[in-house]
Amino acid sequence: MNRRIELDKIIIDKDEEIALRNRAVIDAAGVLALNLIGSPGCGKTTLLEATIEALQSPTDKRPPLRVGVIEGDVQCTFDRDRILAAGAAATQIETDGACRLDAAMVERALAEVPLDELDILFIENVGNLVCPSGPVLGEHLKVAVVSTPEGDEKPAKYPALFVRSDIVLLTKSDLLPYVDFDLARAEEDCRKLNHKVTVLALAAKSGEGMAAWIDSLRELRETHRGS
Amino acid sequence: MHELSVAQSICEAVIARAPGARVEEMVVEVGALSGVNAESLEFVMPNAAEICGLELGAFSIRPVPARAACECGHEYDATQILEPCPQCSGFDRSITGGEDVVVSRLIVVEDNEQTD
Repeated sequence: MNRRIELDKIIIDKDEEIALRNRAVIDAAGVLALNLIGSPGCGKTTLLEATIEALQSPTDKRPPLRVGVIEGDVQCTFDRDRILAAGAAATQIETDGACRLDAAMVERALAEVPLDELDILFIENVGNLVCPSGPVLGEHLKVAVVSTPEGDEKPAKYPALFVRSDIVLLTKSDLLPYVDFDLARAEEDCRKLNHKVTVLALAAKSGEGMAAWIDSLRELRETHRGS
Repeated sequence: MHELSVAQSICEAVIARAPGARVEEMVVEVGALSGVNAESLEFVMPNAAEICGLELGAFSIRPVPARAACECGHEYDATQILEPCPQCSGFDRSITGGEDVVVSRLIVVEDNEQTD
């Protein structure tokens, strides 16, 4: 006999079992996890190198924070090697053509991440401003990265990412004298799309603005551990 | 372009909830801020069902606009997301809809000879 059943609605890519499992594993280790999303070449990996160095700087009187990175790329392990050279734990996901990471890929990568030895985990998504917006991977916060040479209209053009980003980093601020990038406009558009967003301009190469980013990260890590 | 993988996720989610059943009717809502193209999703849905081994009957894809709840109390369809609240001209709002891909209606049929 046939049975006809009406099932409850399903929200795809969100509250998915795998993402929730990832989040539980990350939370059990007391780690703060950030999903880093931006175009190819916007400086995500360079930012991570500088961030790793700053969080472990001997001149900083605060205790060093241990960083791990899951690198997402279509192919190759260049970025993992750069992160390892910078002194952090790193695991590479090669998506084999896929334009974004999904929770299942991150679950497999997490098996190789020494979570118990970390304070902060960055998940560097595949370079892309559209496709990685949707899926929740198990992170606590989404961080959008836009570099000044890309143009100040990027938040307005790619709203799906910016409505759900908790932090927006405007990178390569040391190039502002050479490119047409209106910092105020970019910041204003980010706030229109998410009025609770934190926007920071910085340059990993010159170090300008890095102190505020590092302070935010340390604060987030503290708040997160307390909750 | 990740609509095929979204379509596969939809099929896998259906199979996980109703293993072995066939879909009689399915409505998928595609939010304007989901990062998914509704037309492409419609196009690849039958292929995804075949890949996943799901028997897919009638299905429709319904685009839904972004929905915003302003702190002034006004709720509205934010079809132009960079435009302010039509009531108070402010931007202190939360997005309350149009962010997701949602299987909003799902009717499956099970051949249930053993238990019935």
